[in-house]
Amino acid sequence: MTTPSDRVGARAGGWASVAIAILFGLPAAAQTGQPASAYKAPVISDTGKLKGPRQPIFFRHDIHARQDQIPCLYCHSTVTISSEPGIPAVQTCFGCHQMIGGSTPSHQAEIKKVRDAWANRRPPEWIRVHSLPGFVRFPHQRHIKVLGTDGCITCHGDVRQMPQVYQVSTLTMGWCINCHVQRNVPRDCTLCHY
Amino acid sequence: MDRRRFLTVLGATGGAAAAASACSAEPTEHLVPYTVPPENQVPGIATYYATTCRECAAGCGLHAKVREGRVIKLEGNPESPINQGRLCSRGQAALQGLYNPDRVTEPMARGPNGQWQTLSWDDAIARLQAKVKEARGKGIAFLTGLETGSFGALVDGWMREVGGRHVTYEPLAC
Repeated sequence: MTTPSDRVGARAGGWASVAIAILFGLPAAAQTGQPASAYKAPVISDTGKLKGPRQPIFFRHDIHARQDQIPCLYCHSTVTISSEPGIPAVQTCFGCHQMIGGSTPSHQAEIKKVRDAWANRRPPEWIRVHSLPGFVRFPHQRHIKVLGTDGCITCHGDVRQMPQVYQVSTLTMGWCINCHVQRNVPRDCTLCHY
Repeated sequence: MDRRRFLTVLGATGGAAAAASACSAEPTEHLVPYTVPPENQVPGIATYYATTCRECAAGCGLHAKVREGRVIKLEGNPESPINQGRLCSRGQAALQGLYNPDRVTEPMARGPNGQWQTLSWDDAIARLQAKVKEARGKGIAFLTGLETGSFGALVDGWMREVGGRHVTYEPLAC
Protein backbone atom coordinates (compact mmCIF):
# COMPACT_ATOMS: atom_id res chain seq x y z
CA MET A 1 0.00 0.00 0.00
CA THR A 2 1.40 3.37 -0.93
CA THR A 3 0.17 6.42 0.93
CA PRO A 4 0.86 9.98 -0.25
CA SER A 5 3.39 10.49 2.55
CA ASP A 6 5.21 7.34 1.36
CA ARG A 7 5.57 8.85 -2.05
CA VAL A 8 6.93 12.09 -0.64
CA GLY A 9 9.31 10.03 1.49
CA ALA A 10 10.46 8.09 -1.55
CA ARG A 11 11.22 11.25 -3.45
CA ALA A 12 13.10 12.84 -0.57
CA GLY A 13 14.85 9.52 0.09
CA GLY A 14 15.81 9.34 -3.56
CA TRP A 15 17.61 12.68 -3.47
CA ALA A 16 19.24 11.88 -0.16
CA SER A 17 20.55 8.65 -1.59
CA VAL A 18 22.05 10.47 -4.57
CA ALA A 19 24.11 12.51 -2.13
CA ILE A 20 25.01 9.41 -0.12
CA ALA A 21 25.93 7.53 -3.26
CA ILE A 22 28.39 10.25 -4.23
CA LEU A 23 29.99 9.98 -0.79
CA PHE A 24 29.84 6.21 -0.44
CA GLY A 25 29.86 5.09 -4.04
CA LEU A 26 33.50 4.07 -3.72
CA PRO A 27 34.69 1.09 -1.70
CA ALA A 28 35.09 1.97 1.97
CA ALA A 29 38.87 1.64 1.76
CA ALA A 30 39.00 4.63 -0.58
CA GLN A 31 37.35 6.83 2.06
CA THR A 32 39.06 5.56 5.17
CA GLY A 33 42.52 5.82 3.60
CA GLN A 34 43.25 2.22 4.50
CA PRO A 35 45.00 0.11 1.87
CA ALA A 36 42.43 -1.50 -0.39
CA SER A 37 41.79 -5.17 0.16
CA ALA A 38 43.89 -7.42 -2.06
CA TYR A 39 41.04 -9.90 -2.00
CA LYS A 40 39.04 -10.16 -5.17
CA ALA A 41 35.81 -12.07 -4.67
CA PRO A 42 35.42 -14.87 -7.23
CA VAL A 43 32.47 -15.14 -9.55
CA ILE A 44 30.32 -18.00 -8.27
CA SER A 45 28.39 -19.80 -10.96
CA ASP A 46 27.24 -22.84 -8.96
CA THR A 47 25.33 -21.41 -6.00
CA GLY A 48 23.74 -24.77 -5.21
CA LYS A 49 26.93 -25.97 -3.47
CA LEU A 50 27.06 -23.07 -1.01
CA LYS A 51 26.26 -23.65 2.65
CA GLY A 52 23.29 -21.94 4.28
CA PRO A 53 19.77 -21.17 3.09
CA ARG A 54 19.29 -19.68 -0.35
CA GLN A 55 18.17 -16.06 -0.02
CA PRO A 56 15.78 -14.13 -2.29
CA ILE A 57 18.73 -11.95 -3.35
CA PHE A 58 22.20 -13.49 -3.57
CA PHE A 59 23.74 -10.92 -1.23
CA ARG A 60 27.43 -11.66 -0.79
CA HIS A 61 29.02 -10.69 2.52
CA ASP A 62 32.41 -11.71 1.04
CA ILE A 63 32.13 -8.96 -1.58
CA HIS A 64 30.69 -6.25 0.69
CA ALA A 65 32.56 -6.89 3.94
CA ARG A 66 35.80 -8.44 2.70
CA GLN A 67 36.58 -7.18 -0.80
CA ASP A 68 35.02 -3.73 -0.33
CA GLN A 69 35.77 -3.59 3.42
CA ILE A 70 32.44 -2.07 4.39
CA PRO A 71 32.21 -2.22 8.21
CA CYS A 72 29.44 -4.44 9.66
CA LEU A 73 27.95 -1.37 11.32
CA TYR A 74 27.36 0.44 8.03
CA CYS A 75 24.34 -1.81 7.45
CA HIS A 76 23.70 -3.36 10.89
CA SER A 77 23.72 0.09 12.42
CA THR A 78 21.76 -0.43 15.63
CA VAL A 79 23.90 -3.30 16.96
CA THR A 80 25.75 -1.04 19.43
CA ILE A 81 22.63 0.59 20.87
CA SER A 82 19.89 -2.03 20.76
CA SER A 83 19.19 -5.68 21.37
CA GLU A 84 18.52 -5.90 17.63
CA PRO A 85 21.39 -5.47 15.13
CA GLY A 86 19.04 -4.08 12.48
CA ILE A 87 18.47 -5.49 9.02
CA PRO A 88 19.31 -2.71 6.57
CA ALA A 89 16.37 -0.99 4.89
CA VAL A 90 16.17 -1.23 1.11
CA GLN A 91 16.99 2.50 1.20
CA THR A 92 20.44 1.65 2.58
CA CYS A 93 21.10 -0.87 -0.22
CA PHE A 94 19.83 1.51 -2.88
CA GLY A 95 21.97 4.34 -1.46
CA CYS A 96 24.99 2.68 -3.05
CA HIS A 97 23.35 0.53 -5.72
CA GLN A 98 21.73 3.53 -7.35
CA MET A 99 25.23 4.12 -8.69
CA ILE A 100 26.81 0.66 -8.50
CA GLY A 101 25.25 -1.64 -11.07
CA GLY A 102 27.61 -4.63 -10.93
CA SER A 103 30.52 -5.77 -13.08
CA THR A 104 29.34 -9.18 -14.31
CA PRO A 105 25.97 -10.26 -15.72
CA SER A 106 25.20 -12.39 -12.63
CA HIS A 107 25.99 -9.48 -10.28
CA GLN A 108 23.92 -7.15 -12.44
CA ALA A 109 20.97 -9.53 -12.24
CA GLU A 110 21.10 -9.58 -8.42
CA ILE A 111 21.52 -5.79 -8.15
CA LYS A 112 18.54 -5.38 -10.45
CA LYS A 113 16.49 -7.20 -7.79
CA VAL A 114 17.56 -4.54 -5.26
CA ARG A 115 16.59 -1.74 -7.64
CA ASP A 116 13.25 -3.42 -8.38
CA ALA A 117 12.62 -3.84 -4.65
CA TRP A 118 13.15 -0.08 -4.24
CA ALA A 119 11.05 0.85 -7.27
CA ASN A 120 8.17 -1.49 -6.34
CA ARG A 121 8.51 -0.78 -2.61
CA ARG A 122 8.59 -4.52 -1.99
CA PRO A 123 11.46 -5.44 0.36
CA PRO A 124 13.09 -8.88 0.06
CA GLU A 125 11.91 -11.50 2.55
CA TRP A 126 15.24 -12.77 3.87
CA ILE A 127 15.40 -16.28 5.30
CA ARG A 128 16.41 -15.98 8.94
CA VAL A 129 19.67 -17.81 9.69
CA HIS A 130 20.29 -17.03 13.38
CA SER A 131 17.24 -17.45 15.55
CA LEU A 132 16.72 -17.86 19.29
CA PRO A 133 13.61 -19.24 20.99
CA GLY A 134 11.16 -16.66 22.33
CA PHE A 135 12.06 -17.34 25.97
CA VAL A 136 15.66 -16.14 25.59
CA ARG A 137 16.77 -12.52 25.47
CA PHE A 138 20.00 -11.74 23.70
CA PRO A 139 21.03 -8.09 23.87
CA HIS A 140 23.47 -7.45 21.01
CA GLN A 141 24.61 -4.09 22.38
CA ARG A 142 26.07 -5.49 25.62
CA HIS A 143 28.05 -8.14 23.77
CA ILE A 144 29.40 -5.63 21.25
CA LYS A 145 30.36 -3.31 24.12
CA VAL A 146 32.63 -6.06 25.51
CA LEU A 147 33.80 -7.73 22.30
CA GLY A 148 34.12 -4.61 20.15
CA THR A 149 32.60 -3.86 16.77
CA ASP A 150 34.69 -6.61 15.15
CA GLY A 151 33.40 -9.08 17.74
CA CYS A 152 30.50 -10.25 15.54
CA ILE A 153 32.84 -13.05 14.44
CA THR A 154 32.71 -14.62 17.94
CA CYS A 155 29.19 -15.98 17.43
CA HIS A 156 28.51 -15.51 13.72
CA GLY A 157 31.80 -16.93 12.42
CA ASP A 158 33.81 -14.99 9.85
CA VAL A 159 30.91 -13.76 7.77
CA ARG A 160 33.44 -11.86 5.63
CA GLN A 161 34.45 -15.24 4.14
CA MET A 162 30.90 -16.32 3.39
CA PRO A 163 29.31 -15.80 -0.04
CA GLN A 164 26.09 -17.06 1.56
CA VAL A 165 25.56 -16.81 5.33
CA TYR A 166 25.19 -20.01 7.33
CA GLN A 167 24.98 -20.74 11.03
CA VAL A 168 28.38 -21.48 12.58
CA SER A 169 27.56 -21.72 16.29
CA THR A 170 24.86 -23.92 17.78
CA LEU A 171 23.32 -21.02 19.77
CA THR A 172 22.23 -23.54 22.41
CA MET A 173 22.28 -22.69 26.12
CA GLY A 174 25.35 -24.85 26.77
CA TRP A 175 27.24 -22.97 24.10
CA CYS A 176 26.29 -19.59 25.65
CA ILE A 177 27.19 -20.76 29.18
CA ASN A 178 30.52 -22.15 28.01
CA CYS A 179 31.63 -18.69 26.86
CA HIS A 180 30.25 -17.05 30.02
CA VAL A 181 32.25 -19.52 32.15
CA GLN A 182 35.45 -18.96 30.19
CA ARG A 183 35.16 -15.18 30.50
CA ASN A 184 33.92 -15.39 34.09
CA VAL A 185 30.82 -13.27 33.49
CA PRO A 186 27.42 -13.67 35.23
CA ARG A 187 25.38 -16.82 34.60
CA ASP A 188 22.15 -16.10 36.47
CA CYS A 189 19.10 -17.75 34.88
CA THR A 190 17.30 -14.41 34.88
CA LEU A 191 20.13 -12.77 32.94
CA CYS A 192 18.71 -14.22 29.72
CA HIS A 193 15.39 -15.77 30.75
CA TYR A 194 13.09 -12.99 31.90
CA MET B 1 -20.31 -39.68 5.41
CA ASP B 2 -21.87 -40.35 8.82
CA ARG B 3 -20.71 -38.77 12.05
CA ARG B 4 -18.65 -41.77 13.20
CA ARG B 5 -16.77 -42.02 9.91
CA PHE B 6 -16.11 -38.26 9.98
CA LEU B 7 -14.60 -38.44 13.46
CA THR B 8 -12.42 -41.41 12.48
CA VAL B 9 -11.00 -39.59 9.48
CA LEU B 10 -10.50 -36.42 11.53
CA GLY B 11 -8.64 -38.36 14.23
CA ALA B 12 -6.42 -40.18 11.74
CA THR B 13 -5.44 -37.08 9.76
CA GLY B 14 -4.99 -35.00 12.91
CA GLY B 15 -2.69 -37.65 14.37
CA ALA B 16 -0.70 -37.84 11.15
CA ALA B 17 -0.35 -34.05 11.02
CA ALA B 18 0.86 -33.98 14.64
CA ALA B 19 3.41 -36.72 13.93
CA ALA B 20 4.64 -34.95 10.79
CA SER B 21 5.05 -31.62 12.57
CA ALA B 22 6.94 -33.27 15.43
CA CYS B 23 9.51 -34.71 13.02
CA SER B 24 9.94 -31.79 10.61
CA ALA B 25 12.36 -28.92 11.16
CA GLU B 26 11.25 -25.63 12.70
CA PRO B 27 9.28 -23.40 10.34
CA THR B 28 11.29 -20.98 8.22
CA GLU B 29 11.38 -17.51 9.72
CA HIS B 30 11.54 -14.49 7.48
CA LEU B 31 13.20 -11.14 8.11
CA VAL B 32 11.47 -8.40 6.17
CA PRO B 33 13.32 -5.07 6.21
CA TYR B 34 11.79 -1.64 5.75
CA THR B 35 11.90 0.01 2.36
CA VAL B 36 12.34 3.38 4.08
CA PRO B 37 12.81 3.15 7.88
CA PRO B 38 10.42 5.26 10.01
CA GLU B 39 11.97 8.28 11.71
CA ASN B 40 13.29 8.14 15.28
CA GLN B 41 12.92 4.38 15.52
CA VAL B 42 15.56 1.90 16.67
CA PRO B 43 14.49 -1.75 16.28
CA GLY B 44 14.15 -3.35 19.71
CA ILE B 45 13.84 -0.05 21.61
CA ALA B 46 10.54 1.73 22.27
CA THR B 47 10.06 5.41 21.44
CA TYR B 48 7.57 7.41 23.53
CA TYR B 49 5.47 10.20 22.09
CA ALA B 50 3.40 12.71 24.08
CA THR B 51 -0.04 13.01 22.51
CA THR B 52 -3.70 13.62 23.32
CA CYS B 53 -6.48 11.10 23.93
CA ARG B 54 -9.50 11.64 21.68
CA GLU B 55 -11.86 9.13 23.26
CA CYS B 56 -13.94 11.89 24.90
CA ALA B 57 -14.06 15.66 25.13
CA ALA B 58 -11.71 15.79 28.16
CA GLY B 59 -8.64 15.33 25.94
CA CYS B 60 -6.30 13.71 28.47
CA GLY B 61 -2.53 13.85 27.97
CA LEU B 62 -0.98 10.55 26.85
CA HIS B 63 2.36 8.89 26.51
CA ALA B 64 2.20 6.52 23.53
CA LYS B 65 4.73 3.69 23.49
CA VAL B 66 5.84 2.91 19.94
CA ARG B 67 7.85 -0.12 18.80
CA GLU B 68 9.11 -0.30 15.19
CA GLY B 69 6.64 2.37 14.09
CA ARG B 70 3.54 0.84 15.74
CA VAL B 71 1.78 2.08 18.91
CA ILE B 72 1.60 -0.71 21.47
CA LYS B 73 0.60 0.99 24.76
CA LEU B 74 -1.03 4.17 26.04
CA GLU B 75 -0.54 5.62 29.52
CA GLY B 76 -1.47 8.95 31.09
CA ASN B 77 1.08 11.76 30.86
CA PRO B 78 2.06 12.70 34.47
CA GLU B 79 2.72 16.28 33.36
CA SER B 80 -0.78 16.78 31.91
CA PRO B 81 -2.86 19.14 34.09
CA ILE B 82 -6.05 17.35 33.00
CA ASN B 83 -5.40 13.76 34.06
CA GLN B 84 -2.07 14.07 35.96
CA GLY B 85 -0.79 10.70 34.77
CA ARG B 86 -4.06 8.81 35.09
CA LEU B 87 -5.96 7.27 32.20
CA CYS B 88 -9.45 5.76 32.23
CA SER B 89 -10.32 2.34 30.82
CA ARG B 90 -11.61 3.89 27.64
CA GLY B 91 -8.34 5.69 27.07
CA GLN B 92 -6.42 2.49 27.82
CA ALA B 93 -8.58 0.69 25.25
CA ALA B 94 -8.18 3.33 22.53
CA LEU B 95 -5.65 1.05 20.79
CA GLN B 96 -8.46 -1.43 20.18
CA GLY B 97 -10.03 1.18 17.90
CA LEU B 98 -6.75 1.80 16.09
CA TYR B 99 -6.20 -1.85 15.21
CA ASN B 100 -9.87 -2.90 14.91
CA PRO B 101 -10.24 -4.97 11.73
CA ASP B 102 -13.70 -3.40 11.21
CA ARG B 103 -12.48 0.21 11.40
CA VAL B 104 -13.29 2.58 8.53
CA THR B 105 -10.22 2.66 6.27
CA GLU B 106 -11.60 4.36 3.16
CA PRO B 107 -14.32 6.89 2.26
CA MET B 108 -17.87 5.55 2.41
CA ALA B 109 -21.30 6.90 1.47
CA ARG B 110 -24.83 5.59 1.67
CA GLY B 111 -26.06 4.19 -1.63
CA PRO B 112 -29.57 4.57 -3.09
CA ASN B 113 -31.01 1.81 -0.88
CA GLY B 114 -29.33 3.11 2.27
CA GLN B 115 -26.43 0.67 2.32
CA TRP B 116 -22.85 1.77 2.93
CA GLN B 117 -20.66 1.72 -0.16
CA THR B 118 -16.95 2.45 -0.45
CA LEU B 119 -15.76 5.28 -2.70
CA SER B 120 -12.41 6.20 -4.18
CA TRP B 121 -10.75 9.26 -2.60
CA ASP B 122 -11.09 11.26 -5.84
CA ASP B 123 -14.78 10.41 -6.06
CA ALA B 124 -15.36 11.21 -2.38
CA ILE B 125 -13.60 14.59 -2.58
CA ALA B 126 -15.55 15.51 -5.74
CA ARG B 127 -18.86 14.61 -4.05
CA LEU B 128 -17.95 16.54 -0.91
CA GLN B 129 -17.02 19.59 -3.00
CA ALA B 130 -20.35 19.50 -4.86
CA LYS B 131 -22.32 19.08 -1.61
CA VAL B 132 -20.51 21.92 0.15
CA LYS B 133 -21.07 24.20 -2.84
CA GLU B 134 -24.78 23.32 -2.86
CA ALA B 135 -25.28 23.78 0.91
CA ARG B 136 -23.14 26.90 1.31
CA GLY B 137 -25.18 29.58 3.08
CA LYS B 138 -27.95 27.09 3.90
CA GLY B 139 -26.15 25.62 6.89
CA ILE B 140 -23.38 23.01 7.10
CA ALA B 141 -22.37 20.92 10.10
CA PHE B 142 -18.99 19.14 10.26
CA LEU B 143 -19.43 16.28 12.70
CA THR B 144 -16.34 14.82 14.42
CA GLY B 145 -15.22 13.44 17.74
CA LEU B 146 -12.80 15.53 19.75
CA GLU B 147 -10.23 16.95 17.33
CA THR B 148 -7.20 18.67 18.79
CA GLY B 149 -4.18 20.43 17.34
CA SER B 150 -3.86 21.51 13.73
CA PHE B 151 -6.66 19.29 12.38
CA GLY B 152 -9.15 20.76 14.86
CA ALA B 153 -8.02 24.27 13.94
CA LEU B 154 -8.30 23.43 10.23
CA VAL B 155 -11.88 22.20 10.61
CA ASP B 156 -12.85 25.25 12.69
CA GLY B 157 -11.27 27.61 10.14
CA TRP B 158 -12.86 25.90 7.17
CA MET B 159 -16.33 25.95 8.78
CA ARG B 160 -15.95 29.69 9.47
CA GLU B 161 -15.13 30.22 5.77
CA VAL B 162 -18.16 28.33 4.44
CA GLY B 163 -20.53 29.56 7.14
CA GLY B 164 -20.99 26.22 8.86
CA ARG B 165 -20.53 24.80 12.33
CA HIS B 166 -18.00 22.32 13.70
CA VAL B 167 -19.99 19.95 15.94
CA THR B 168 -18.17 17.50 18.19
CA TYR B 169 -20.11 14.60 19.61
CA GLU B 170 -19.54 12.44 22.65
CA PRO B 171 -21.46 9.20 22.14
CA LEU B 172 -20.63 7.78 25.60
CA ALA B 173 -19.76 9.35 28.90
CA CYS B 174 -17.04 7.67 30.93
